[in-house]
Amino acid sequence: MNRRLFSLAGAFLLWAGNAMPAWAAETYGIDPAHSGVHFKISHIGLSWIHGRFNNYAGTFSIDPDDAGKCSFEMKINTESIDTNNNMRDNHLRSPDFFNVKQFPAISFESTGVKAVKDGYEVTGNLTMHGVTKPVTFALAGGKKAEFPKGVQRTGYSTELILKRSDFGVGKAQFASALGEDVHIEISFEGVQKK
Amino acid sequence: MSFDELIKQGLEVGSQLGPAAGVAALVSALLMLAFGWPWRAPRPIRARLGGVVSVGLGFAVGCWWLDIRPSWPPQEDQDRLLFILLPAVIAVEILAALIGARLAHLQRQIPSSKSEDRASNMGFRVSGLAWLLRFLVAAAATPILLYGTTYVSGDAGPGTRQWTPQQTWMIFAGLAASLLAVWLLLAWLIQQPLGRAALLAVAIACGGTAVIMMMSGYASGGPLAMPLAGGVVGALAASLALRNASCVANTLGLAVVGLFALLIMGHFFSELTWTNAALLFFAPVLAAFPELPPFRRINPKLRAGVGIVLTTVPVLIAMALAMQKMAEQSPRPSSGDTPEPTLDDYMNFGK
Repeated sequence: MNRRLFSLAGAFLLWAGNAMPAWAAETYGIDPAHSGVHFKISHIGLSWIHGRFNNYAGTFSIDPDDAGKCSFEMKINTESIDTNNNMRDNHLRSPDFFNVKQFPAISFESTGVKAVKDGYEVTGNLTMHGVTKPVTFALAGGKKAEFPKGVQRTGYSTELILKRSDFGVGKAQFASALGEDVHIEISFEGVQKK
Repeated sequence: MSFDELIKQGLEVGSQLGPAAGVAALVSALLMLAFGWPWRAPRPIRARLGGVVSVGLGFAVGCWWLDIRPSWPPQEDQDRLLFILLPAVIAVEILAALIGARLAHLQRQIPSSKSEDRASNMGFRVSGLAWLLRFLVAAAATPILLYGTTYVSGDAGPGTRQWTPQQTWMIFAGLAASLLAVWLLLAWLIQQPLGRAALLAVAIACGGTAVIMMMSGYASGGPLAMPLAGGVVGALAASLALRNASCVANTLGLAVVGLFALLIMGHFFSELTWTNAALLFFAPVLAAFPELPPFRRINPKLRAGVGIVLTTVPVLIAMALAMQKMAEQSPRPSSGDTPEPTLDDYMNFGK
């Protein structure tokens, strides 16, 4: 009887052991209240115009044991662009730039994640203005906290530079006045899904 | 931003877009004259084809002059306008020109005293076919321009579609009916003595559209209206040299659909208000007012002139409203009287 019990327990442990990686991957939903998608772009080569997107959503999965099983995805609402100037924001929403009625979202979906010092190196497809291109960036962070009590969360940050022309954002007429490089800063906290 | 500054900026925009309109007009006029040779007795079919092709090519050259480069495959409103809608209108009007020539030929062949009814019946059927094609263009114009947008598509995710299917069909039907009504009215007007002024009326509305769309935050879309206006004026001017008023009959389709499409783009993709879009689109209709029966006794030249003046009024009102809106939205300069940069300033920076 004892032998049978032991072998049953052993089988369960073996099954559980195999199933562990699936359990170990933690899935998080991005918490917009503690996240931000900011950008800056040169204005006629003199200064920087700072802006942000106010509406976005996303999820990510973290497997502490196997970075290859981590994944990140995010969707940004282009209509929510905000540079603290209503007239400029409306112009940025027009087909001269983002054409938000045609391309309402900027989306990112990871295709590969590697563990690096202090975080991950994430590769994925970024779709903006109807153009999809692969991008790679370093994601720093990964500390965990229970806040508020009973809610597990973690957070990451990244900075990357994109070229406007790679995604066809901004008609040629504005090429001289606005910088080609767009500096992007994304920081997000995720709340673990139960 | 003061009124003087706005006028100054309007003139600056005009001076930038003027050459594109001029080039379009020149190309269009030369082509029209080439199609209309010999000018004293142009072949009707060639002259009618010239009325379509000359404006189409003049417009294309004007766009090239402005450095407007649509992308293929068409993804955005401008791409769909330039690659799908306007070529479709040109194709329909070429077909309509051929149909019109066939109609004229048939009517000449049938002895008028013998069977007038037969000739008019045939004419009705043949011109009915041309209008059926135009109806299809009118019905397809808005769906083509709004294809894949958040108004009609929920591809971006649940709840992202702005219009219900019912609303979509109602809006499409209403806009198609408006386009067809204006098209029909101007087609009637163009057949009146000096009715060619209808084209000038549409060109004036296009000129206003260019400036107002730019003021409404669509800096790359507004300028498209200038080569269109230039192309129409070029064909119209050349048509005066030809002894065949019907040579510009098929020019109207391209002008009206082009104007309509630009206003749809301005409103649905940018900040062009419904009021301004309606003022600009219906402005040419006022050119038909002096052709109403009570005014028929007045000299045709005077009637045409009054029609043009009447067209200009709503265009100027729309411009004033756009200026007012722009002035209200412009941020107040932080450094005293320093004027804020305009879209034109941005577009010309470094040039």
